[in-house]
Amino acid sequence: MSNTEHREQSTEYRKRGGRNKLFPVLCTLLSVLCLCGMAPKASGKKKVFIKTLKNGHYQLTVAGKPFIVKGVCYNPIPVGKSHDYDFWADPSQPWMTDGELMKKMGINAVRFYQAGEDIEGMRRVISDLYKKFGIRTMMGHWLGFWNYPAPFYDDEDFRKKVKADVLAMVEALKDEEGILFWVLGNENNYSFSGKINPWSSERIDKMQDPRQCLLARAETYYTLVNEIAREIHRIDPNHPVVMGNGELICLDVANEFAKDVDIVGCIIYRGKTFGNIFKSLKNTFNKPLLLVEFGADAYHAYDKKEDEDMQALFLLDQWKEIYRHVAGNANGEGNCLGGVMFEWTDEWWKHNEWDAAGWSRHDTESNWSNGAYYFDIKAERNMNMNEEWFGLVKIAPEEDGALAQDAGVLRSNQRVPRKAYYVIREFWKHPSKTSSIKVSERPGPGGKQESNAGAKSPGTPFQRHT
Amino acid sequence: MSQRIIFLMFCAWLCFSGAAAPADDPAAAPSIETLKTAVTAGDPQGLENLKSVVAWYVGDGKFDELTVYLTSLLKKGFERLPDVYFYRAYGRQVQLDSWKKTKNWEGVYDKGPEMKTAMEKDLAQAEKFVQGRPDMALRIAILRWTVASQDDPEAASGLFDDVVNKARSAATQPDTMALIKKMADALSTYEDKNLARRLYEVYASALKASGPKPEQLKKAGQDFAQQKNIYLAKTLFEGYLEQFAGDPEVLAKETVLVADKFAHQGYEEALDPVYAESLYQKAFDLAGQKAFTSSSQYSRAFNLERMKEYIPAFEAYGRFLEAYPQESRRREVEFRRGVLAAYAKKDTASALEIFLRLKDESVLDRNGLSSLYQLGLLNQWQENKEAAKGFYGVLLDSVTQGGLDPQKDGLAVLARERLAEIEENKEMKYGLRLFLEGIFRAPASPAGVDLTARPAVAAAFKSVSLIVTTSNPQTGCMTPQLAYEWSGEMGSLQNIPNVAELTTDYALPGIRVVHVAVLGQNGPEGVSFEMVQIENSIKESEYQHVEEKDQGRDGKEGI
Repeated sequence: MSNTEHREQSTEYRKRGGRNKLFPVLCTLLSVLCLCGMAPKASGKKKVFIKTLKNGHYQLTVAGKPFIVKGVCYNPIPVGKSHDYDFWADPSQPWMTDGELMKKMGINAVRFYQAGEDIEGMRRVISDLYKKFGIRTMMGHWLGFWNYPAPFYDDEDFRKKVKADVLAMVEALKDEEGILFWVLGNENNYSFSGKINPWSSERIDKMQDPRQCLLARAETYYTLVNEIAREIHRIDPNHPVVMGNGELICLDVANEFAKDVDIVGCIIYRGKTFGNIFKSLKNTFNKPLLLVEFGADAYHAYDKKEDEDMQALFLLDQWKEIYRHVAGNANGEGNCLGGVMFEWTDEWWKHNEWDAAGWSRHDTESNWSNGAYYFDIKAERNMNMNEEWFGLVKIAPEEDGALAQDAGVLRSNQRVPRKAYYVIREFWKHPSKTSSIKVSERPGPGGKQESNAGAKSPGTPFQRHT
Repeated sequence: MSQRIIFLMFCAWLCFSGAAAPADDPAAAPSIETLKTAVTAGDPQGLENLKSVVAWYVGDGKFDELTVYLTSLLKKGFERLPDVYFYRAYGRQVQLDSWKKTKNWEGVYDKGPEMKTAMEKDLAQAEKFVQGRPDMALRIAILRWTVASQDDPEAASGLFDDVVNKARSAATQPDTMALIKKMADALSTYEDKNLARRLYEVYASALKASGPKPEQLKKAGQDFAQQKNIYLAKTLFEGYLEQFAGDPEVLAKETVLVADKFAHQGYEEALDPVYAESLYQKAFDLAGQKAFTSSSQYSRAFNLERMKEYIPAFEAYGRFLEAYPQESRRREVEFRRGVLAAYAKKDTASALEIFLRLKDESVLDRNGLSSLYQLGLLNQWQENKEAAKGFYGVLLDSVTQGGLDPQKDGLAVLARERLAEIEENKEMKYGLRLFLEGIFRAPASPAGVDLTARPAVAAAFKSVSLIVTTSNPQTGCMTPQLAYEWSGEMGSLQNIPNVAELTTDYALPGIRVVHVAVLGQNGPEGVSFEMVQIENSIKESEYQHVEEKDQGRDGKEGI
């Protein structure tokens, strides 16, 4: 069974909506050339890099301007479809409707979890989002985490395969104007404990002591991330590499073995506050921080009804805290580059991906529990997190199931912005109105104001001191 | 509509509450035009009429018309009447709320900021003229806080200070006291309990300052306890206890009586078990064991057991036995101690001693039969197979002697299962073995797994939920896949599913011991146990009848 076929069987891989089929042979060959150091060197100055300011704050610079990531995770699966739906090739082009709404809200970047199959389709989406709406793309890769039966990070062949796959993606997309970052992995570190998506090897099993096993898995994984980051820097000097890590778990190990990563991307679900994460990160792995996934669902599991207010409340507090810790705010740690909310639209297939009938049903059964989202924690068995209800916009199925025409754009599902859409829009317009935030930031819309302002920097290739 | 919107609407309504009730006979009610002519600034009835006019506009959703009407009043000599400005702000707030109710977010966020500015101006204007109107000052403060905290409760915290200050000034009036309490109740239900607490403090202080008799405070405390208004109940009870400060022994006894109200009783969720234990300890420190009756000593021990403070519970049950050796609950308490000794203290010697004592006294009640099963089980675990066989055999004989069917009785069924394992030289049933291994062989204590019965004390045939919770490592939205191996007395359940929560029922009185072992992908995660007490709601004389009934319930537990 091929690697791709293995992935097709994976539950969680599907949950994240990824399509990780291998790129065409040409791309793979190209990546092999890259690995062998035969690829042509990229030229020009860096378009995206991180400045280290005099006060030690980290500031993301895009097209020569300070840039706070106001991002959202984007996986536009329509009602009635599942994880394997190829939205990159959606004839209704949902990103056109979404891009317009995102732009009005103030979103300046989207995060895709995984590349698609069709390179041209991906280029078109990235280009449309950027050129038409000024929205940049953070392109992710699972790093084979959802391979079936397990991601063999301690297996040399597996590592080579993952590396080749990522580099093929980078090679294929690095020249797209809309690219912002490469995001490696997503909560893969939760597997180190052996409780989630467990993987091991004979070498690790011999250690017996659970703590030693955990550390060995962490070292194994982070060295792979580091190798890939280094290779990406070589073939694409224009876009920083983000490592997607669940919470701060094992980042002390990453500090030792993943030094070439430019940005720590944390996935955080702590309710109203991110707690001490900004300070903690400085002490464990002093890199710029991007909150690559955070948010709140809009379903009250205790009252058993939609609760847009609850979602808006959490998201507003989360953004306020992000802004407190971006560069230039004297009261914050200055190490945060912004955030990426989970997520743009609801996804109706997520509760039980094996039940095709459920893809057309907005399920209200919770999938996990998190006490930090306290409004509905008293739900049965404390199951209060509703995976199908995280959208900033809800989706409404078309009445006749057919594509509808709207303002000259085909759409597969109607978009209805939730309260959070407006609350965050207002916050971004006037961040200082609700808190003592002073931020200097000006994204370069549509690439029109861009200039190549890159330069060499100590630390990772994407850090510059000012 | 979300709870928070309901809450904010409620707050807005509170500002307005007390408006004239609509007339019973609408035909007899004055027309709106008549009411308008009867609006005056100088007398209470004139103000009531104004309130009624506002209620009419708001009830019909005529917000813009209300604004026009109130604005017109300002030109007619009402410009120093705070009510006019207040109602104009109130009307706008209700309009915003109506948009929220219908999720007209564009309205809320496109027009809302402008409306909020106007509301703030009106409230500031109203405040200029509230001299001698503390109730109006409070209403203004509540509405101002409500407006400001719409989307940003933290930013409005300073305004809440103002609500509290205004509440203090206005708390002497009975109507305002009711308003304060309603506001605190709403905060407690929908919002930050700390904010509610601050208003309850104002309310309780005002109540105490009004000079009630101690018994009245006690009664008020009891009423609030019944309403599950814990904070207010505590405050009032503490006020009640203050009168006994000069007599430590009486104070201790009264403190225990208050503690009993907050402690676990088993039938429903306790009001505040931790607070109850703190009061028990305070009473003990004041007067020692003399502070307690047999009932309250039992309550204290049981409360500790429900809090999963097993070792202190074991000791508290011990003090109960020492102080009240003839108490009717003695055998039940002994049995609980036996279970705690075995599975919490992991002290099988003590457990065996206790169960033997219970068995020697009698094998004809449920505590005796349950002790026989525990004796068999612990001996079987310790590989004393002949001893185990002996205890299981006595259990089966006793069940038969009691006129019960050993094929149906729950304990007898378990004893026969164990006997078969011994006779066929097989390992114990998987789930049970995992549980005992988790208790007696696991290196770490099984603190990561908790099994709780709700309720912990139930009547026969009433549903009991058995709920397992686990403390997992951080895994984000990915939930570890766990398996739940149940064992022990599972009541009417058969073909037990591998899930974290089960619902069962039991036919006859007694303490039922349930166990669970939780398995993760890498092996055992932990174990836990629970005692479910089935109350004697069915008399002994009906025992035979129940047994017959049970035999008719296919697949249901015998005893």
